[in-house]
Amino acid sequence: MYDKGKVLLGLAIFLVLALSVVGYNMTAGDNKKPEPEDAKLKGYTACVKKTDYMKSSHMVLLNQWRDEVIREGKREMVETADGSLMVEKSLQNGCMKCHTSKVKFCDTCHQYASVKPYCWDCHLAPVEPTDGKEAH
Amino acid sequence: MKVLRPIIAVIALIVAGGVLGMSQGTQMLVGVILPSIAFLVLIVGIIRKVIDWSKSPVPFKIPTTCGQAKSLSFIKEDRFDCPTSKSDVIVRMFLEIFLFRSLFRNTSADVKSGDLPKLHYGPSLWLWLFGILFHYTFLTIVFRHLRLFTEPVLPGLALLEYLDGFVQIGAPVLYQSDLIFMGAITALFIRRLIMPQVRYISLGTDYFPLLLIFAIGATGMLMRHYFRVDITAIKQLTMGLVTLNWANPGNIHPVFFMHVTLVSTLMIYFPFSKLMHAVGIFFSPTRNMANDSRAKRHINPWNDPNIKPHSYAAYEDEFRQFMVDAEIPVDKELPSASAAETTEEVTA
Amino acid sequence: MAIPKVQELRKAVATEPNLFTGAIPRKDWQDTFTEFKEGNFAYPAKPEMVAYHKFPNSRVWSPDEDDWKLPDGWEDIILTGLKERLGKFRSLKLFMDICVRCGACADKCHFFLGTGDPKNMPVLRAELLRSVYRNEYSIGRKILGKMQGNRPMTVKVLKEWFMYSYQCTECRRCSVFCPTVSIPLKSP
Repeated sequence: MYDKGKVLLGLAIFLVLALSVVGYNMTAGDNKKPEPEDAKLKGYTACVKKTDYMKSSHMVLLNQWRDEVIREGKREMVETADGSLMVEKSLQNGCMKCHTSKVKFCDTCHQYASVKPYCWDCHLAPVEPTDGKEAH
Repeated sequence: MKVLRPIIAVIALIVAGGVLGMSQGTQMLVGVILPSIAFLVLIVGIIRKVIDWSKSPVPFKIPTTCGQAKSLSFIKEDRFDCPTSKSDVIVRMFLEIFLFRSLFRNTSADVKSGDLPKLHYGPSLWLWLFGILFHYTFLTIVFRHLRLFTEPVLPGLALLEYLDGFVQIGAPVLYQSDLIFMGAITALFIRRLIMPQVRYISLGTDYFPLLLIFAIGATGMLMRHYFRVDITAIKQLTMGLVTLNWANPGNIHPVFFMHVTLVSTLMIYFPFSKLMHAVGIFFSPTRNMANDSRAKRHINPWNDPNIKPHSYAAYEDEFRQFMVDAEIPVDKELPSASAAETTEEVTA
Repeated sequence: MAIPKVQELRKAVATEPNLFTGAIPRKDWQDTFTEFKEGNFAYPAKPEMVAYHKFPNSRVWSPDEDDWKLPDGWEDIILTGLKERLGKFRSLKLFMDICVRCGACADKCHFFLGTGDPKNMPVLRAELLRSVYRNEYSIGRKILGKMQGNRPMTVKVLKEWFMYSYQCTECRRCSVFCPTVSIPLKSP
């Protein structure tokens, strides 16, 4: 009693599942990493931290700002990395002065990495500068 | 100490992954080539093992019967503990695989001292609890990782991540599954160390996967919460793996390569170790067979045709003298002296 | 040897150091030896009975003697026998490979509960055979031999098999509780 049929069926299911990821991406088409647009600074010479830090740890900074501003009331401005100007500790009134488009700046990487930050649970996303269809 | 070698092995793997992950050249080796080979070994290894198992037949019906078999109409049948139909077997297997039912049944025996020591049995669910938490959180974590291997990201993963990070602690959000996973694997490890019986039976190969998986979880959490590695660069690398479009975008922290080295080791180790219980559970004849040997004939393919049935009559013929001597009742009496003569005449 | 009373046995199990009540043996199970003494082993069959069943090597012998009068090349006979059985029983192959040694079966065996002898835990009783199996078949045996607890086939191992296989009634209670595969711990 070898149950050959059942074993082969099981193996086939296993193989299909194991290789389905490869197949999915083959059919899904373009899977290049998108580059965020709207990263240029507007009226500033530097961001509040270096690009590498911002890339990996902006969420920590934003979380820290939120705690300081909302829970401790520390609303003083912060310096840019090169010390040239002051920036308001705020997502909407600070960060988004330069990076005006949520869709083009935030969402590009977040979508690629499937990250769903809960910033916009409370904050109103600014109206998109060119085409505002994603604004809510 | 049997736990020493596995600890050294896991530390060596972490160091190797970290060192090789530090320079661009060797990153390709541990970040791309190693996991690709490991995945192949995993798939081919599992298939080979399954084929090896299926080359041996199941000669007898050996379901473990843990309850009342189907009998007369007024006797209550225990359908899933002693299944007689295919559908009941499927339910039994389902409960076994998804709810770890046999382990849920676990009892512990201990001696209650008193006037006279007394053997005492009680339910013992800790092993079941940590076991099932570990397996399900591991599954959740594997599913969550699919976000790095699919583009566009599989639908449904966002919901899974949302639910998993429901308590919204910190940024990046802490996943509950990570915490439970690390807790459960620690509990399973400590259990092996402190329970005298389990400690005595544990081999190096029992500690090794636990430590390895713990290290995988630890490096994973470090990546997310402490080093906060560049996730988009990592996704470029992982997408390269699954589209066979190998690339190393650079700028990836060495801890990622530690993680990948450990995961690759797990994948390579899997098909050759006890971890194959994940596949073997489907093959277990004690659970996947119906207790219907009286209704359906089960053929033993290597039955020796030279072994003839030995009927009771033949048995009695062979041992009648001994049986009569031992005063065991016999169907046919010993031939009396006169009867013996007549038979001789007939044959003559 | 005096037959112990039930009450004495109950006291003995609870008070004498044994694994069941939590005393860890000082030596690993690989390093302990089986002791045969009058009353703790099953007597071998008479030579004429062995011959009647057409089994080989019928002889007068006793397990408590040092020399078991094993035939020449008995290791090979056993290993070939193991190989043959692995080809005949999927269950054996499977259970040699995938036991996770979780210990759920340990305190379900009435022989273990009664004796407290660690080698009467179903998992360890099977491990006596599994250690030899891995020594022959496991892929990583050359590098991981020590970590896997592998052992070559020796007279010592054979004596363990004899002692502990006969301390199993094949009631399959261990199999009821086994989470992975329900391994009944006596090979057919």
